[in-house]
Amino acid sequence: MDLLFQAIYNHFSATTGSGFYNDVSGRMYPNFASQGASFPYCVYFSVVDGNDLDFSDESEDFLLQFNIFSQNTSSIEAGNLLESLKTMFDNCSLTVTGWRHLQFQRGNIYPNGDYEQSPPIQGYSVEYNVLLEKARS
Amino acid sequence: MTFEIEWYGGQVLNASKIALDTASKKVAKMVMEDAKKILKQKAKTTTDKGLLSQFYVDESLFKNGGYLVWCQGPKKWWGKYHASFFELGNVWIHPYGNKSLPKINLPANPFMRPAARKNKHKATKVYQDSLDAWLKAG
Repeated sequence: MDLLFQAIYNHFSATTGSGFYNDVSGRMYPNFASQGASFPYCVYFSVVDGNDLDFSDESEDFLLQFNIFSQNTSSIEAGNLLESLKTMFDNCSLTVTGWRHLQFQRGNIYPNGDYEQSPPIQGYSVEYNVLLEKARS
Repeated sequence: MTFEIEWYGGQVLNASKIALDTASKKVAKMVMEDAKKILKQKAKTTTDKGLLSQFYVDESLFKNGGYLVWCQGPKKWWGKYHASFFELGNVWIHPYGNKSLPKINLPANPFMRPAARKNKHKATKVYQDSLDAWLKAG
């Protein structure tokens, strides 16, 4: 999983001057954000990971989630973040050391805000199905 | 000359629907029990208190909607229905909106989706077994 997380971060930081990296000012954290992290930011983590074997190959089937948060009275920033996240990761190709990367397919998107805060937190949770494969050792 | 066969399609369909309905409920209960187990493990507790006491299985209000596994937060006037925040993760500056509590960020602790995925293959077997038992019983 560390190799996949590393590959995701490498893909994220490959383009810094524009796109999603620029929109969150490089603030994308694995698993959880530090206390007091500045908005907007993104957190990515594995929801569930299944391992499968066949005669010749081993595969890892991940359900990943990206949470994006913006603290803003307007929902425009969160909407723009969602679009730039999709542009960066939908069907992207990753280089995962030791594995063949087969799929990075977007699944469900959930609105995930906390509107009782002031200013309100606007956010989305975005799921991706990721499939990796390698020869059985 | 006409030749008619009464195939009792309607009755067969209804009876098979009952068998599948029972299987659906069983699958929902399996998912619920696994979700509870995962949540207990993550919360490092053995007691069914708080969020763990809020699970139940209910029939969908939609036609042919099957069964749903529910989990919501404490039903107190100041509380949020926080199960979704626990499942998806969120930013809570003040838990429960209570400004006297310390500020926290809430990392995700998924328990429903892992339970659903774990039972994906088992569900097919439950449906198959249920139909087999129904066919054998005639």
